[in-house]
Amino acid sequence: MTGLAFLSPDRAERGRQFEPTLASPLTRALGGDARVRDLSGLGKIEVRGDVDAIDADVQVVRISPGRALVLCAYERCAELRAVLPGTVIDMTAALAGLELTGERAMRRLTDLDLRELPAVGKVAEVPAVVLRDGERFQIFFPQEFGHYVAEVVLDTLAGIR
Amino acid sequence: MRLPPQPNERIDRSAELTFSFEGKAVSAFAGDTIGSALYAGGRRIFSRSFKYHRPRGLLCCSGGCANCLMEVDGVPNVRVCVEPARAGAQVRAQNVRGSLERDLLSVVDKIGGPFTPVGFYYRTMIRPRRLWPYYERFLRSVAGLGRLDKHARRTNRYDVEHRHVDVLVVGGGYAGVEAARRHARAGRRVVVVDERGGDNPGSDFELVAPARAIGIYEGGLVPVDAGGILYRFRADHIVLATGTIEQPLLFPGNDLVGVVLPEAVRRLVEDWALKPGERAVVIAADDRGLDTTDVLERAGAVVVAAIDLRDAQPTRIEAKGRRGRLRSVVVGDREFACDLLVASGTPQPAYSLLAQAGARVEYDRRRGIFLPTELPANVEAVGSVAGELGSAAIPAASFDGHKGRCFVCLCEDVTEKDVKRAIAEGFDSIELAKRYTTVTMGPCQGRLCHLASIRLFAREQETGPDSIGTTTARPPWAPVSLGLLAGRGHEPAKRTSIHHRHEEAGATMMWTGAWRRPHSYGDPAAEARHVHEAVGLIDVSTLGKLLVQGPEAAPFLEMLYPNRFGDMKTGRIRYGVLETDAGRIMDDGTIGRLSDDQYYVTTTSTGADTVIEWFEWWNAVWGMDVEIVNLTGALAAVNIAGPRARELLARVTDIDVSNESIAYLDAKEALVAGVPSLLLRIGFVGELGYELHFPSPYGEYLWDTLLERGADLDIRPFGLEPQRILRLEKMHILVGQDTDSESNVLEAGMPWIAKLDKENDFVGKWALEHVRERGFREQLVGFEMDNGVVPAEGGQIVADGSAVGRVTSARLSPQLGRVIGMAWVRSDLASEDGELRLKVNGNLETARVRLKPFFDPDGERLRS
Amino acid sequence: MKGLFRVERMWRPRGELKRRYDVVIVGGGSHGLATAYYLAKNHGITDVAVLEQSYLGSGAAGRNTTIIRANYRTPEGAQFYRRSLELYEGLGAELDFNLLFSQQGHLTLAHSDRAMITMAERAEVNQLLGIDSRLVDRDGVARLCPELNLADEVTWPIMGALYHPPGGIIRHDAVVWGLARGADRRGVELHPYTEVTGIERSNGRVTGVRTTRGEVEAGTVISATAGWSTLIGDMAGVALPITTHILQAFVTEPLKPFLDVVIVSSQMHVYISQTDRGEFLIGAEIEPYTTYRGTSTFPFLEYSARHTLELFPQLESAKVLRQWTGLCDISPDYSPILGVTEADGFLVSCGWGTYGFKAAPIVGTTLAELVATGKTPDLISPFALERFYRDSLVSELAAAAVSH
Repeated sequence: MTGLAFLSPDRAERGRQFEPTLASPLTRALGGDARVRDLSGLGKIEVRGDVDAIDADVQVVRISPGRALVLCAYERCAELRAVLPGTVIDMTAALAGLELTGERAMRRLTDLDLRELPAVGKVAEVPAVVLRDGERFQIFFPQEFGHYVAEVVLDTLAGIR
Repeated sequence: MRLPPQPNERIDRSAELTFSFEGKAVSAFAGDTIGSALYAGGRRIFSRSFKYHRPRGLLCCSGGCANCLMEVDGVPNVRVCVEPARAGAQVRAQNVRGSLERDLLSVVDKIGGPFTPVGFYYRTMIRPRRLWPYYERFLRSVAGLGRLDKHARRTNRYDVEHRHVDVLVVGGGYAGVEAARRHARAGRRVVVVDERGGDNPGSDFELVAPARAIGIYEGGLVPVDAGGILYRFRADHIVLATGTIEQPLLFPGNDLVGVVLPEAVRRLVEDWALKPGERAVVIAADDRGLDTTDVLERAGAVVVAAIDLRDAQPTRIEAKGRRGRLRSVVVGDREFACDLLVASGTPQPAYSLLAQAGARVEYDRRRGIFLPTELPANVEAVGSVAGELGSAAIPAASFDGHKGRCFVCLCEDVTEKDVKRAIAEGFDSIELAKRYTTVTMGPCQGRLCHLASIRLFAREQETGPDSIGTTTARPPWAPVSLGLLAGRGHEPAKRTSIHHRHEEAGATMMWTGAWRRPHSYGDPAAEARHVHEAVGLIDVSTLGKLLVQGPEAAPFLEMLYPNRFGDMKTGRIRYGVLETDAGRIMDDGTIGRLSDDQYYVTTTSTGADTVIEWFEWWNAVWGMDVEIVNLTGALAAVNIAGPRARELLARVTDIDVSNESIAYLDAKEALVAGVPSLLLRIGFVGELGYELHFPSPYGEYLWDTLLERGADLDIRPFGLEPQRILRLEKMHILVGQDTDSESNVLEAGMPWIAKLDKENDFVGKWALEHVRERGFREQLVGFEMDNGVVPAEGGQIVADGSAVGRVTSARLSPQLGRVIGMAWVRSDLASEDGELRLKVNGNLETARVRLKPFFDPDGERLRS
Repeated sequence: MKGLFRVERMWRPRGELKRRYDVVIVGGGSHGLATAYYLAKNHGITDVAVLEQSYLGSGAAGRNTTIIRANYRTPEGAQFYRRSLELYEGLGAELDFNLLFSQQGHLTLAHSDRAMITMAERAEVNQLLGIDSRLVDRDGVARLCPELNLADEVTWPIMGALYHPPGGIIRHDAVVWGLARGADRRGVELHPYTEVTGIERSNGRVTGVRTTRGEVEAGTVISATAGWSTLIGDMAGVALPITTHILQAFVTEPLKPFLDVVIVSSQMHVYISQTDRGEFLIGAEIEPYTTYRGTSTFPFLEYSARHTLELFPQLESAKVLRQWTGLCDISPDYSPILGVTEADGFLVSCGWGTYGFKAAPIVGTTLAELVATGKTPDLISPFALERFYRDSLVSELAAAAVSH
């Protein structure tokens, strides 16, 4: 099998007249709005197989009995790709992510039960993985919906009085 | 005129406000509804009825009936009895020609009555047919209640909020609050929804008010209308405490202004300090109705008669009036002059939500009402809705009088006579009678007429209401506006990671499924020509991209596609067409072999989701050792195409880009401008071309870099429209445009795809074998117009006056200077140079069949 | 006018079931009743019983969104529905019952160039068959329905439409009642609340039915049971390639005249008309899952409202009064299955999907002719069940992935 290098943004090479630069699909829609943190740059690695065997100091979101999403710092992608068990697919480029604060906003974005997070469901009608830390919520979803989701999030925040 | 301050009044006498009714100022206190303020100002007629335009006044005063529908700030059909008075609101009467007091259309009531019996429109205006449209226009103009502003735009913001709670209580009355506290004490999170609200009764539960439950739907979903917000509640446990609905009595004159239900009296006096009348008669079936006597007397009215139907049922009840307003009531052989008649039967438990939740509803003979039974798990009914009612009489289904109409359904102006007539005509089941008379189909949704109509129906049929059954309790439980249901109205849209570059370059964007794509950057013809002459760049990130890997990847694909893949060398690409299980074309794309057990599959932009589901479904069915990974969004993709494509590629990569190293239909991994990419040499647009697939966050970077490094090669972006022209020149099909749900690869002119001699079976194989056996009926061919007319796509090909084919694609090729196209034609017409007659703008134009690509038929440029 | 004052029974009260009828029709909806009516009227066959499990018109006939049109995609479909439309035009006078047929015109909106191609194709197919059907551009749409939101900043801007002037809406109950009365007056027996529980077969021939009110012998049994067709087919030992899905609709409170053309948007899965009573009648596409359970859903209201307001923002304050659900019998090619089956003496009318009500009179006339003559009329021969064995489908679907 090939290593599928073309899936991993961190395998780009700088220097020698090229300076590859990453862009987030949320940047334009968010317009620097401080209420929403762009997490699109995080490393996201999908593991298929025995997800219980994942033994790394990273956040692991179980998607199904045989699938998990590993969230990590971008810089750690290479290292984790090498050590994670089962089939490892680099989804860093596939998923956009954002963080917002406030249960009210989240209730307007998703029908997931916020008492039962993390969970996989829909946010703004788009498939998503949702995590919670107190009043802060992290959402990861297909990057092609990034601009749309960011717009909906801002619109939702605008509607909370 | 207001009464002295009442102990629990809802008005704040220190805060006055003004709104307008029919252009005249009306003053109100904070806490008034529009209805109470109008009543305080002396208004008694609030609407005109649907059919006869009879005057109607406040009846239920609880937002349940249609008697007070008005237009408020341009919004029609507002129940003003519960609509809060707002400063500056513009209130108008509706469904009147003239004014509420003098409605020209009340002529229907006075003289038209006999001509408009129930269902009259089914029996009249049948001949002559040509006059029907005129009758119809008149009929339509008098139907309908409120009026919509034709130029209105959306004005209100509506949000949707999802709520998960342990216990949801619908109804904040005594029983509801009691139940809420009981659950709260057990440590559950409780929300109470109530129509009126008031003070939050403490911290042990959350009160959502004023708000109405819209219904109970599958999965225990309870949507709640809270004004500007739609709450979608899901609760582990639902408590229904919806109480009862007061029921009018049926007697002649029962719709006169001044005939009210008990709750109207209570609200007028206790909430708004208004005196409902001077001289009142009370006729009621239970204590709750009779108790209004005290309320009235406290308010200073004289109760001239209070009749308890439990004592004896009068032989006769008749309300008499003048100009639609009550003047006297005849009870038995006595007549009482009065201006108020409080009349109510047995209250009916408001069981609709329970029925929607799955409860059975049965007629209780002993009590003369419908009661919910057999509640589903997790649903609880408390209080009067559960049948906890005091003693009540069962009033007669209707009371006789000498004169006057006895209304069963006020919203629809259906009288007792109408129901009798319907039965006599043979509409002898309740559902048929309902449909024929339209009883219960008006804005009150049957609240005030469902029980009455069934009891009346039963009496006329000489049977018990229990054998009649009930009509379906259809949601919603309360009318709900489209604005609230629509919410914010966001539609998910997919954008490629290069999207904003297209917008910045002035591209016209269009939808391709859920994707936004550039139609062109202004000049499709020039963009297409440019690909032939220099080099073009197109964003093809929207292509579906799948990784199929595992020991059985090759056999898996062989069973899915009619093509062969096992014999393919690593690093090679093949064009594949997916078939449905009926052998029809489903999707197409390229399949590249990355290693022994890894294939990279592309699909059409709109077909990606279907194909992925298709793959996963068959993988589950076959149980093969294969993994399918959707990489559609992970990877951006661009196609560099044109004679200078190789030169450009050489500038941004270190690998050997010669024709020997990367031949036509080769796949290779490489760094392109420093970005890890998969390079596919394919030629959808008919020129030397490379598709680069790479991590989507580099979309803008690589797009910019290619344009920059190719500037001196005169590189230029091109959109979807020029791509369509280019692919048509090559007779490359577009699935869904050149094919429909009946097309197969054989008749579509791609027999080489279908390896019917493959050792394994594949999806749709039987159907292709069948097509081969039966022979071709029609074929997909190219054509070239004799003149320069561009036929419409979808246009018909005609022979002897009937259709023998249809155009699927047609364009003027700027490169060839000719009009070319593709068409399905009857197979006997599918020979090179054969003449086709095309219908174009009503004329027949001639075209010639072409079986080989119009441009570069032998693919030399592709392979160059 | 005289009929206005006289109280006349529409049909005789239900009598006892006889032991035998020449023809037993299962299903007292628009198709069953039309077939009974034309059997009696056109062929003098009156020894006919219509068996209905509930009240007349209780199924799809009383739940559809009452749109009548003939602008179909295939020549086979278009000429069939054209004839149906013509029959509908004369049906009120024939039955002496006003069906409130409002031929206000029918606009199928196109929101993409792909849809424009489909519309163009339909217009051309229709025109060749003499059906008034044409493609109109955005300005044309604006002239025909100035109330429509033609702005560009909506999600799916309108590019044009297929305009079909003779299309419109009708009062569905009136069609049922008019046909029932017409059949009853000619001697046909109507048996509501008579559920068929089994079908008798002997030597490959259907000989009668079992019902909740006893057994009945029959020369011919016709199933016109829409969403329940596969169940009735099973009783006769005939497998039908049909799946049953639900279709939902709702009405608003009555409003003064606003819209006088039927608006359909396949892209947005919504169709909108305003009835003579003033209610907006709004329907959607079939739900993607199969079920016999006619439960209404809330998401249907939400997405229909959203899409309706994209087209008509003026309806923001219009209120939904009730919603309901009907069962649809979907065939693989979206064309009906009509006529003989492999079981002798067992005919079917099914596979209508969402188009059944539009076809009632033509189904009635052609099935009646088939029963009377024993020969399948040319107009319906393309719709034979046998086509699925010959793999010769009549696709009303434009493309595999695009329903309509």
